[in-house]
Amino acid sequence: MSYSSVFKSLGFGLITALFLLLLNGGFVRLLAEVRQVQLIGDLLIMKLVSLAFLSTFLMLVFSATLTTLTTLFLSKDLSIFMHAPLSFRSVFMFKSLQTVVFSSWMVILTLSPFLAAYRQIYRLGASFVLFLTLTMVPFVLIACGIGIALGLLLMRWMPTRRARDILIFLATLIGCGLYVLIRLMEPEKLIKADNFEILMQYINLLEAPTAPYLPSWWLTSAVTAFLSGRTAEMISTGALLAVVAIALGALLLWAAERFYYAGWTASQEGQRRDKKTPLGNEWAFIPPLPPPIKALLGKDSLLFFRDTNQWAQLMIVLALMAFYLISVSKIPMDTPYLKNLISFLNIGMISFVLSAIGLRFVFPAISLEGRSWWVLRSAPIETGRIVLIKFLTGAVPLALCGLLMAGASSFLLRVDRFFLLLNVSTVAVMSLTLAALGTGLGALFPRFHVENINQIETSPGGMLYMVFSLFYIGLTLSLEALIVRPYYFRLIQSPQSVPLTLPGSFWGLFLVFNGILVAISLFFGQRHLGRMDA
Amino acid sequence: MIETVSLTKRFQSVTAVDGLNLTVTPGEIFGLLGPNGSGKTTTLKLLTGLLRPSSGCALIGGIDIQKDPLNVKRMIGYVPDQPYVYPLLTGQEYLRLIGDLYHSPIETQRRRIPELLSLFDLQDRAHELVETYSHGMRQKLVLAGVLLHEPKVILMDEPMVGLDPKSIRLLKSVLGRLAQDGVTLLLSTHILEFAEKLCHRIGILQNGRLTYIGTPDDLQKKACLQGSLEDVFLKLTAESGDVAPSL
Repeated sequence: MSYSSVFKSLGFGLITALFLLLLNGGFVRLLAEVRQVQLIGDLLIMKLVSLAFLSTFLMLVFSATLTTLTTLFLSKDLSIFMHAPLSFRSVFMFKSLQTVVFSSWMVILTLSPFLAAYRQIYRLGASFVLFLTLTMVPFVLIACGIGIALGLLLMRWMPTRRARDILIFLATLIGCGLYVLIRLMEPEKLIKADNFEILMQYINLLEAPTAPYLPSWWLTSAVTAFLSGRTAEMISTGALLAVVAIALGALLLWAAERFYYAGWTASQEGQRRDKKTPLGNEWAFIPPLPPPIKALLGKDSLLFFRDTNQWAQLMIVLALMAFYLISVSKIPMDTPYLKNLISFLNIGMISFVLSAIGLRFVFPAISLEGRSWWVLRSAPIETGRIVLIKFLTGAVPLALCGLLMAGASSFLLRVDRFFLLLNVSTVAVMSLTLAALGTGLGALFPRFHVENINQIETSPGGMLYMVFSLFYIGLTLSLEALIVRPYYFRLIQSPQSVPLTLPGSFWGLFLVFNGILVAISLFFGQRHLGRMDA
Repeated sequence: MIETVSLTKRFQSVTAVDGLNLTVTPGEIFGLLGPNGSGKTTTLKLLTGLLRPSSGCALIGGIDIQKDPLNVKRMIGYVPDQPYVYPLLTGQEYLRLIGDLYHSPIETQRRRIPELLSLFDLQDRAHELVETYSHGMRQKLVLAGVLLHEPKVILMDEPMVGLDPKSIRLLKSVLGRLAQDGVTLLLSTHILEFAEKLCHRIGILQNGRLTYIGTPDDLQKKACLQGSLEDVFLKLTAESGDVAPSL
């Protein structure tokens, strides 16, 4: 390992650690505030924990289902393993372990600051960390095991690629629908006790189990039992998690011995197409542009819509957007203070959603050229132009998503004209900058030779993109607070004098700042890509 | 047409190409031979701009590829050893992509693409996705893509791998015609019979250095041998200690 790669790894580690520390600080503050609520503070925290575990469980199942299809059936190294003198059981076990790691590490990493904050608030010692680790392992294995089972069954029932594509799409649709449905169950009622006529009704709601038959509630019970010192309950719920995980594992091995190899061989069938495009019309759907640019845009579009993995990820994006808009519509806004605060924070939330979309679609765009990268690299086209095309291919859809969310959320929040202008214009500019960050970092840290797409998103470059995005979002909100704060105070003191437009000086500086970020990201990305050996 | 001046490429502690001085003239078919790991693929990639040299330079038509890569790339066509092309494009779409990237007029593409697909017997599979193609079919598709934009220089890395005998014979005929039309061809191959019959000159690379260069007759004289090119090659490389002792 060279010094530069050691240095890079250390750098990534430091940045990630800093990010997690900041997140932890935020959660500590939140939980400390909630705990101070009289009578029901601890109950509220328990409810938050149960919701966090429920969300984690569903995300893990979903993530594992999609990851299974790539690691267990489409991974390129499978052709080596399947032809080696290894039992299918061994291959299945190894690939399942890979699935668990790929689908869970990011989820667990983002949950850990919350759990660390819980430990700090209740001043729990090292024994809590050990207990949590011992119970989280079977919890993760159960969630991922269910996802693997779903993937295995899908491939068993409909082994040909085309039918599989449709089923992946449907499965994703159903998964997203369930997720949104649970969101519609309105857990936000927790923070609006006025809905309940008697206090006891509210307390009963808090004490009631959240999805009692799911492992997320068993884990919640185990954690709260640890807090209360109820040893018997700790052991019984922990044992329940372990037993179910072992039983599920045994069931999966049994199913794998019957279905796995047949599903894998059938998945090797290629797609067949009946459509014959007339020669010369291949990029007819792209507007008139110079031929090389039109061809590259056409090629990227065709590859995107023919790739099932991308469809599934698109469904996740749409579910994420729907989830966000439904959540926004349910937020109680009794006071102008709360309404304006939410309207302002709305920018940050939308940008966070956009950065997650950017991680899935924009950051991997260059890496997805894969082993065909030599085609573009040996062709008479500048690397800068390739990077620019990748940027535009990502920026336009990202901006459309952002504008849709900004417009819809502003309508749902019934914001005034000032916040409408602020939301829409800020999100439009931020989406371009986030796209440039994703493209630039994707060019700085390309991974052309990966076994599956998850390795691109979960690479050090992907992590760096998320960290930079969050810093950028935080910085933007901090800068915009400089104009939102005086606007708010003027609104309270003298509403008649409130300006309905954004200050020109702010807007100019904001555009210049983002323009510089876009230029820097794309410049360094294309420079590195042009210099590296292909 | 192709010239390298002390061309060197190092990968950390390994020198893959070591001070290579080579000239290939227009209309010449030059065969690059050598044991595995001798630097053939690295040399070809340096000439296409896919790799940056550690020192020295590579000139195509008198232009340094590192200083003016676009103009050089317009002149060359490259066939890699592994024909990875976009699996979710059809054969026709791939050729259209190549045609547009190399600024080939659409009228020329409309004429040439069906001709090339027919030449390489791919016309019935033109609308199928590349992921359904065999290795040999992908190799032929890449060859078709190279010929589409009518380059002045063609660089090929093991072009015969995966081709059936009929396609190999076709390729020989096509390359011979191209050379007669003045196209410069540099190819690496392990099929010595192919090199012997087709190439005007042959170079043998060992440990990144060009140890022998000349016509097949010249190499026979150097080896003091009257046998086939295979015999000559094995003797010359054995003298340099690169052939494993017999079991």
